[in-house]
Amino acid sequence: MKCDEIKSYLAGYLDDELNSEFRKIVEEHLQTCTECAVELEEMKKIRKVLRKMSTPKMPDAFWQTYWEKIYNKIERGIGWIIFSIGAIILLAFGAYHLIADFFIDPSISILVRIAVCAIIIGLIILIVSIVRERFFALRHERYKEVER
Amino acid sequence: MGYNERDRNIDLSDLSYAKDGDKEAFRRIVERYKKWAYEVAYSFIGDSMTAYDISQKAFVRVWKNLYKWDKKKGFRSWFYTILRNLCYNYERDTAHRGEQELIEAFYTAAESADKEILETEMIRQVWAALDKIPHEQREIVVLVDIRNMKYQEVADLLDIPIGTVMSRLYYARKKLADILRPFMEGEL
Repeated sequence: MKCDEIKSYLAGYLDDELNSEFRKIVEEHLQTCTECAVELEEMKKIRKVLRKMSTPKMPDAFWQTYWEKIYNKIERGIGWIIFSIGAIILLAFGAYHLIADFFIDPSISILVRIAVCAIIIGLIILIVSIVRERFFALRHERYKEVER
Repeated sequence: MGYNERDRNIDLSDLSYAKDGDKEAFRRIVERYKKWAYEVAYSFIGDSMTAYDISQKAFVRVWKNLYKWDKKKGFRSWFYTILRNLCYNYERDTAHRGEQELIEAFYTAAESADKEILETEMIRQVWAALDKIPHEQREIVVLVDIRNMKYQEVADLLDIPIGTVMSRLYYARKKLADILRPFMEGEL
């Protein structure tokens, strides 16, 4: 085997993850190739440093309240969804009546009504555009499962 | 945290109940995975409080996305993807300390000749070095070298061939050796 092929097995050799056949091939190569032997030594040292990186223990109190914190977040999420649905319905209902009353009011000049109509149409186009852009961005987002 | 067929079946059962809105079943999943989630997040982030918060966010995320869960993929693999992505997002959104500042901190520690401080600084250098290698290589280092997982476990978790685990690990360690060489003259 050439060095490039052997190198792809060096990590497995170091971590004792190779079967006996490949282990023997790597061992034989290492006896004659200084370059691969040097790389193996470097890897051993890097692995030694990495394995020193232990995880600090969290106090027990943090684990005892762990579920409660998650539960509260879940519950709040549901609360917000229900609240938002109610608010959207009310706002839409109010907006509908406001606009309907405005457009049938004969005391308001036709020019003002056209201007307000233009503003509303423009606003709808802007909202649709933003929503579409967000939707497109979400579909192509690398980490779409993650909320920022 | 070893993972066998029995664990997988318990996860599938609890998750099926949780998907139907059973919070007690979801709680059992949280209790089983909370420490593992924290440790994995810590291995990516290197800060205990942030890792703790991210692990909780990951569970909330799981709850919100239970309807998307694919039984075929299994829970652990899906949960790991969510957790890892939250860690990467956190990193992306957080300003890191400059490289120069880290180098200066290391030499200040070296001058003090205090072994403990020197080791702490070396670990900080390793975190900085981990930031510089590609994500797909970094996660293998995190799982194999920091979390002490076997290649087969990692391959199952990431749904990649075992040969890919081995080659990514080789390139990751090689890059880390190149980056850390100036700080590890005595060791490398």
